[in-house]
Amino acid sequence: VSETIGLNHYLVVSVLLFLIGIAGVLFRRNALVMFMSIELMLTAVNVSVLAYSRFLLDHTGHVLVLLVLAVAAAEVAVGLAILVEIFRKRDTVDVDRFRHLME
Amino acid sequence: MTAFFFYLFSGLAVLCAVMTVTRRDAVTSAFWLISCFLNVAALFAMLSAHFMAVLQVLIYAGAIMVFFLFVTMFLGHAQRTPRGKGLLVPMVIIATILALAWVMTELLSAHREGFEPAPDGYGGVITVSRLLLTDYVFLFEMSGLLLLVAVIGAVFIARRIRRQRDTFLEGGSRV
Repeated sequence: VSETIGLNHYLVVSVLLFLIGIAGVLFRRNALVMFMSIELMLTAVNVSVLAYSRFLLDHTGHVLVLLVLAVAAAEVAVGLAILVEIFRKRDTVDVDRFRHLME
Repeated sequence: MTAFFFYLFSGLAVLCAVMTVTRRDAVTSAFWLISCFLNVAALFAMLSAHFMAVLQVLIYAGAIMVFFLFVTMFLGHAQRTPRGKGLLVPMVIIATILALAWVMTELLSAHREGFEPAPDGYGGVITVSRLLLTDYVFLFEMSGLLLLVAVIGAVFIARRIRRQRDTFLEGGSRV
């Protein structure tokens, strides 16, 4: 393999990871796996941001990725706490059974 | 040589992502996701984003995923939900594959040149943190505040559960 690796290669990896994350959120009914898929999508966006940052030789993308890390950590902390409480009340993590907000 | 490592790490990352989404057991999914994040950290390092690669390993693959595993094991991994049936899923998958093929041919045929060589210190701790503590210091402080609020929220939810259980115990109505 003697080709050079450029911006587009990283963008393709980013697209693939993001689509896999979307598929996980759409097709899985386990709330924990849906959370993991959201994390996967955030990481895919980080790949593309850092690739553009490298392409433009600009450090602003690194700051953005750091903020995404902080927001992801906060989201996981609160989201999993809510999930634990729902599990204690409903005894399941299947999102199809989380219908008590509609009733 | 760079191309070889790029295809190795990106292929492994995509493979681990697919395994994350398709495994039935949430604990197995979490381990595949950790492996995916480690491969993505290698990609970050190949992009000269050394500081971000370290943070990816420490925060994502370390802290966040340990928390995930903790909660997954706490909730029990007995919920193996039945797979959904219907025509929607195969149609969406076929549409996704077609769109993906189009995007990849467009992207890979457009520009094929590599990156310019990175200057010294690009993506290191010193340069990134200097930017973070001068131009973007407000965002930095706000992310700290956000984490504080998230911690308070999580503790509040957990504490309310504890209080309910205590009243159950005092009332003697606990099963």
